[in-house]
Amino acid sequence: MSITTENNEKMITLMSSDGEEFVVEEAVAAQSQTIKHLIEDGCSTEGSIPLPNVTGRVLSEVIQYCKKHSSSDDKEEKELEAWDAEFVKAADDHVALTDLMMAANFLDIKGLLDLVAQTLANMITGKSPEEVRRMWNIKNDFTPEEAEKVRKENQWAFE
Amino acid sequence: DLPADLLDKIAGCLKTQSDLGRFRSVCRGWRSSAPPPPPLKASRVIRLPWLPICDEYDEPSYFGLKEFTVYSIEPLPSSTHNDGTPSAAAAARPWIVMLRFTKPGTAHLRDLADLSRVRKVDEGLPKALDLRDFQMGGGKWTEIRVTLEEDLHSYIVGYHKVGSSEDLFLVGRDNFEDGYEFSVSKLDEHKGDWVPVEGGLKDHISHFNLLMQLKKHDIVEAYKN
Repeated sequence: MSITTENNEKMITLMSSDGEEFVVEEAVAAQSQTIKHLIEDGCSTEGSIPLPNVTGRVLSEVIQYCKKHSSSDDKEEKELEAWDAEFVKAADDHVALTDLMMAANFLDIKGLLDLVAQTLANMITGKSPEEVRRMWNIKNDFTPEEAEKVRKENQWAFE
Repeated sequence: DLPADLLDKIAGCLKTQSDLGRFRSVCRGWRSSAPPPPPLKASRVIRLPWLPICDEYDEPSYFGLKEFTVYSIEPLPSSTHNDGTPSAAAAARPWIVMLRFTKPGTAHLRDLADLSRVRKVDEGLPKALDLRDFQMGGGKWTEIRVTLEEDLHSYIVGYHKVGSSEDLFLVGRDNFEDGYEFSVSKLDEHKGDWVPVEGGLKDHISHFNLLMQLKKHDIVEAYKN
């Protein structure tokens, strides 16, 4: 469905995987290259744009990011950086960040993808493999031979 | 679970080789998603023909300078081996060492708190370190020193990287009865001359501060971050 506000902003509706609807300005939604292409291909005229890979909780975060980034210009770069830092801090949980990264990837929002990737990288910096496995609930699936290969790869020998 | 291309993207944001090594040690999926770290760089001899240090006849002389890649590492606060036992690194007192690579695959260990000697393997340090048990200092340092003329050992050239530009610093040492003082100059390529740096290198090389405090030691070296 395509409606227009008083400011003559074109609005579009995004539908999350769990059926939640979000009405946003087209300029905001178009921060996502995926959505932009869908709009260009005329997919938004027949009603809301379904986003089967993104839950409402994640989508509302993504929209928050897109709103901020579509309303700021380059002069506000410092302020935007501070906002980004607060934004990922609010989602300061690796599971939430993982969901957000998947969504940013699917929706093709480069800035958000880079931001979340760096945040996750910072979270694992300085953590042992075992700590990372516990954090992400990952099983150590190396065979003894592979584990030895990995160990060798990380060994520094001295003369 | 994150797909391989997203894991690779996270790995690409890691800043040090030891973090990448740990990343690739988590599980098969993580290992195959990120490329292995590049091989460690060995030293190379570099030539700086415009280095204006004068010899005893007041003629500018040329030096062979040797560049070493230096890594600072310190144990992870919580490092344990895969079987849960504390690693040798964690059991040891916290120290900062520098690993100086001379040729590929071999390294010298140096304890920054005790610059007066290069520790040898038989002095209680392990024959090999598991890089994953350590946190590497940000970036790597390059140590450049005059390799030829013995009597000019007090001149050290640091090699500094600021962003994409590379600055060269010359560190001179003046001897006093109770220690040394350092004078630091930076190469001004437009002037083709060395310009004194106010306040020494401390704004440029954080670890240089540490070195300056260690005046009592005989070995004086400048490092580049």
